[in-house]
Amino acid sequence: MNISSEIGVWIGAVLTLCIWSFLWKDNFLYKTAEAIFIGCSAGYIFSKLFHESFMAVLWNPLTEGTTFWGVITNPLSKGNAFLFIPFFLGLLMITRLFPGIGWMSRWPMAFIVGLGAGMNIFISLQSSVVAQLHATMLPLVKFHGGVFDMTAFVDTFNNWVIVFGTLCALMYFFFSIEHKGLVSVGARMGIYVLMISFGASFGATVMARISLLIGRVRFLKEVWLGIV
Amino acid sequence: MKRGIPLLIVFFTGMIWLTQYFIPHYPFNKVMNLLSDWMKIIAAFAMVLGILNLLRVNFIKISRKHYNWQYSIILIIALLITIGFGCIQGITENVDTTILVYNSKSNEVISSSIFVAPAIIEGLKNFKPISSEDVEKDGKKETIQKGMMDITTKNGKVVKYTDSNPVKRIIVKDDNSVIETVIVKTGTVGHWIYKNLIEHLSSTMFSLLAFFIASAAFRAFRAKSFEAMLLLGSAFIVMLGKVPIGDVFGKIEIHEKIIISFPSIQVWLMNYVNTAGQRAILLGAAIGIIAISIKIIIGLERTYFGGE
Amino acid sequence: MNIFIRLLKSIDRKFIFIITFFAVVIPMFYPLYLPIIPEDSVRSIFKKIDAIPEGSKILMSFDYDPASKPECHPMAIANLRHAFKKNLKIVIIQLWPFGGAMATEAIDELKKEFKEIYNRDIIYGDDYCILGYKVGGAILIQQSGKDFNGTFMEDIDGKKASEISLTKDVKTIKDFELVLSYSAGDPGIKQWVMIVDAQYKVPVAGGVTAVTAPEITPYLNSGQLLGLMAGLRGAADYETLVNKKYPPFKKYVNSGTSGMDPQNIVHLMIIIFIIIANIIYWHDKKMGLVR
Repeated sequence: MNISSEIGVWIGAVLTLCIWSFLWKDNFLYKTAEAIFIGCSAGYIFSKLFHESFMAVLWNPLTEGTTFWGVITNPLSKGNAFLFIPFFLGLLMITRLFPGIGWMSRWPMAFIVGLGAGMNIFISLQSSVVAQLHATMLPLVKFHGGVFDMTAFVDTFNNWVIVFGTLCALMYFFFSIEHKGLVSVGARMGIYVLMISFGASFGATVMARISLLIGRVRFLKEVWLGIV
Repeated sequence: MKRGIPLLIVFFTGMIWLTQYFIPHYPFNKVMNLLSDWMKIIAAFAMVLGILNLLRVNFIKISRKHYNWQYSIILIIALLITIGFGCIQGITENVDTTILVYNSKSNEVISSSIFVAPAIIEGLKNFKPISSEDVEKDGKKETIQKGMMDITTKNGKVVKYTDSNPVKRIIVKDDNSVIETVIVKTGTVGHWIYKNLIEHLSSTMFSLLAFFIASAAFRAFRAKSFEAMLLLGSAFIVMLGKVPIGDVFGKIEIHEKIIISFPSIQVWLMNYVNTAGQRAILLGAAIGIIAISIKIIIGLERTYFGGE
Repeated sequence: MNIFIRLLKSIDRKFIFIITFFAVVIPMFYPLYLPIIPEDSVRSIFKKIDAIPEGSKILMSFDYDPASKPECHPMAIANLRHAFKKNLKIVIIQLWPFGGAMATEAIDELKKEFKEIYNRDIIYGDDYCILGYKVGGAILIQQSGKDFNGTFMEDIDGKKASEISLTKDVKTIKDFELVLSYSAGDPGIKQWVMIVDAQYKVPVAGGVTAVTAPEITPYLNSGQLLGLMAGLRGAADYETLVNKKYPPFKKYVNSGTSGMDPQNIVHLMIIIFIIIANIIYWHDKKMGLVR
């Protein structure tokens, strides 16, 4: 055992224990750690935006080859003057905080929403609808080297699972017709497919959450307490 | 102004973006670049808005002395300290600080700062390099070495520079004389905050979920119906098949493609049954997104306007 | 039986928390070292990276934050080990604000390993570079298909991408042999698949947190995604493949592989919890206590 002498590691370890104290009950240690977390994270993201986004995307192109005053006094002297438009729109975004003029933030919001909508129509259609449908249109009988052997049977069965599994699950979500007769059977099968799928998601979620705990315990054990 | 202009902006940006997929030539390809650059700026402001709103909400909480208002003070202090240091100093790991330039042949010090120059010259004997790189700068050949050493400051304190916080040593070869510049890489406050506060707090916060999922497994999962049984069954198989212990339970090989074991059933469940279910959800969601996007562009969907 | 059921029912959730904690801690001291057999979806990434000619450029997108670091970081490290060993040139970008810090941390660890094992220096600007964070997500991916350096502009130290030796010749995303994304949500691997694979035909692979894995599998099945590492197990699989080919890496921290021991036990524990809970439920149902 070789307990760390770094103050940063100790702070990290103490904060870890403060957050875990929530498992006992909500208390002031947890709330303090939570407040520090939110404050520092937001501050870090702001600083990151300042250096890597504003400076790189806005300030450096605007001031390239000129001075601060050059930008202020003669903004149109450079080809980058177009950047004043998004800068202005960005500032309008901040008006959201002021009730009287809050409506102005709709302009930049409209820009972001419009761009997102234009992009989503195309990429969703191309890769989530067409490509996925294409991958679902599988042969319902598959041969292996011209014969229907065990390998071909397995492939055929798997194709059926994909094709009918997807169709049944879609049928369950299809509310335009009443779920009666064949549709009802299909929809019921659809629920089963979805349930198995959700079960798989649950299993995977357990795995994910435990991994996070393992990461933390490892920090306490190896970095803080120095037990390797 | 309040409704017309946003609707026009949405229509034009949406249509222009959509058109450039089909006509990827001038002027649409240029417009796409321009709009992307604008987006980067406006979206950054949107994030700033979020942070300002966080400040506002907490100031209100303090001024009106809402429940737990004391924690808002801590939050604001943490936020302002991080922003202050982060914006001024930067948040990347190291800041170069020139501390000493000297001629290593004659031991003649050309310039030095807060560190004791002879101590550095002495310390360089114990310099342990981590990496070395030859570069040419302004016609001069330089060797840049990064390494570990201890340096004494003028107030007598010994600072240890380690592999995570190294010293940079630049050797300038100039007319057979060797001029060395020792640069100390000091971590910024922003980086310190990230490494010692944010990283631990963030991952611990999410590690709490491990305890809650264990508790939920005990308290909530009941096989009340056939559907619930299917859900639990597939969860069991995935949980056992995803970890190496699944192999311990053995396997039955009927055919090279039909192997009954937890890992192989898990792979099959994930790749076929789960794919079928998720694909249905994906298709439904994608069609929904396309429909809502069209409604947004033509102005039928206006919830993004917000209240009022 | 009744006393036993009553005892089980009276278990406090804090007791479950304590059991969970020890189920994680104890296997760390007494590991089982069970063999790990890599899944095909991970092998395909390994094969792809192995087949890329030396000196080629690959793009890595660090789309996660400290909250999902225990899952995504080991995958990124395993991939980086393989890529650096293969002398591939790695351009790193970040769609999440903490991505850059994650990448710096991963590479700092690898620098030490490569120095110790191969006496090789991993040099910034030559072997790898980290471009700065920009907001925009999918829009950035879209733009990088037309003008890569124009999209990401500068590295984390403010140096222009067009002046860094590694990126100065990169015109579009098509100049990369492979895109790897380590993603904990949106924007992440889904956007890379939807745009880069579909429109620019650059193979996309990567790692996701186990939570997101089930919803990404349709893309793997359709062939839009070259390979997928899911959660800590994905990392363990890749580490196994790398360690088999390059055994010196075995002695270094392999978080995925060593994480499998506690993972084994906790999964068993949760299954036992669910079974016990259902025994209680069936018992109560039999007694007419629940419907």
